[in-house]
Amino acid sequence: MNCRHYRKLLLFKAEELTARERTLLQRHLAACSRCREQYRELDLHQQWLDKIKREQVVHPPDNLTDEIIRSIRRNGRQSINGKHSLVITDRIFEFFARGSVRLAFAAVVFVLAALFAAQEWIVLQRIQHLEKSLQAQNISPSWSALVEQRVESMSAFAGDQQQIVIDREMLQSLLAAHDKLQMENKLLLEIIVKQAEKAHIQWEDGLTEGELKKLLTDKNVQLPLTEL
Amino acid sequence: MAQQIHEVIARARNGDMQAFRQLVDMHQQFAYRVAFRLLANHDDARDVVQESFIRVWKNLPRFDDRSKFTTWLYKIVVHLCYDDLRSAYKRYKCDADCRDRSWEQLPIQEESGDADMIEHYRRLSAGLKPRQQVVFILRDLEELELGEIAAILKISIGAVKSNLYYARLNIRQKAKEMDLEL
Repeated sequence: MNCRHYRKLLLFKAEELTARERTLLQRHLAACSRCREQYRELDLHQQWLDKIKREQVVHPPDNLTDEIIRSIRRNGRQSINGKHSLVITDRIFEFFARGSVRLAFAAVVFVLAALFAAQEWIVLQRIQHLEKSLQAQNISPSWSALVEQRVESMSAFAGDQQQIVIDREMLQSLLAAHDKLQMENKLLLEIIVKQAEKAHIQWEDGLTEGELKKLLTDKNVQLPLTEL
Repeated sequence: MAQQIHEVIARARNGDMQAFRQLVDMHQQFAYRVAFRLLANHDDARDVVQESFIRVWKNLPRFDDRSKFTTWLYKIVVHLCYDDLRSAYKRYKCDADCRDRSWEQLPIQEESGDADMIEHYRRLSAGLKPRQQVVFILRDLEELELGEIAAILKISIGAVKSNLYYARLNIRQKAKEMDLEL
């Protein structure tokens, strides 16, 4: 190998050369003064680079992190692979910020409100039906009066007192109204159940006590009910 | 440290913006330094770092936990800088073809300082091909292993060494032409 070849090797750091190249280069440098001179120049170059590394402390702008986060919020919501986006609250905000979604959301809210109103109307109708049924049996439509009457007669429930005839629809109305009615109506319901437990209620269409209990349990009415 | 980074990455991957902010805080200086060394311009470096972290955010689900995060970030930053370097190289070639290299004749300030060193380097590296420039920065300033550089640029170690050789040779020759005392 000649000087030209060794000067090529001089441009590499020791760890970038093979062991053999290092050995040959060292031997050549020991023998060739011109290449040694070249080596010294390159060493100066290396010192210059070391100086850059040491002194060139590059500081990013103070607000770079904020700028990056803002950019992501502005541009990075849609991911390239469709799997990644912002935190859930950001995604919800972004989702509802879209015009079409807003319209759809308004439509859903309207439909839900209409359904709720319809349900309320059905409950009212059932309550009215219940009142009419009770009036037909000469029972006062005033719930509180009815409760008073039933409470007074509780002690007299021996088996042959006046029975309330309740049909399935009336019971459904009571159950549907359960959450909507005032406390006295809940008391009424308890009285009915109490009577049902003691077989004081005559079920017009043969609703069994088991079926009644199931209906009440489905409606989260606790059994057995507390004493009035 | 590596464990901590992987935990932060896992949280950021699940959309935790606070965790991602932490990841940016941990690596922005490093990313900025690499971009600045490659582009020698603060505005361009800031743009590249910003775009790099947007890409990191978008591609976090694809990040392989067995990889080193900094290597991945190097790849993103370097590839973004590479586009700028190519444009700069084309401009340089155009200037050279038009024999308008007056900028190389500007006097070099004697005072030492950050800006002067950047200017020195900018002049010395201006004629390097983009790949030579990247290899030179990653090896001689960032001190990456040859294998790491090969992985970042997706080239062989032999190609890294070849680019490194020509980069160092060109810089040395240009320093001599400019009579620059290194």
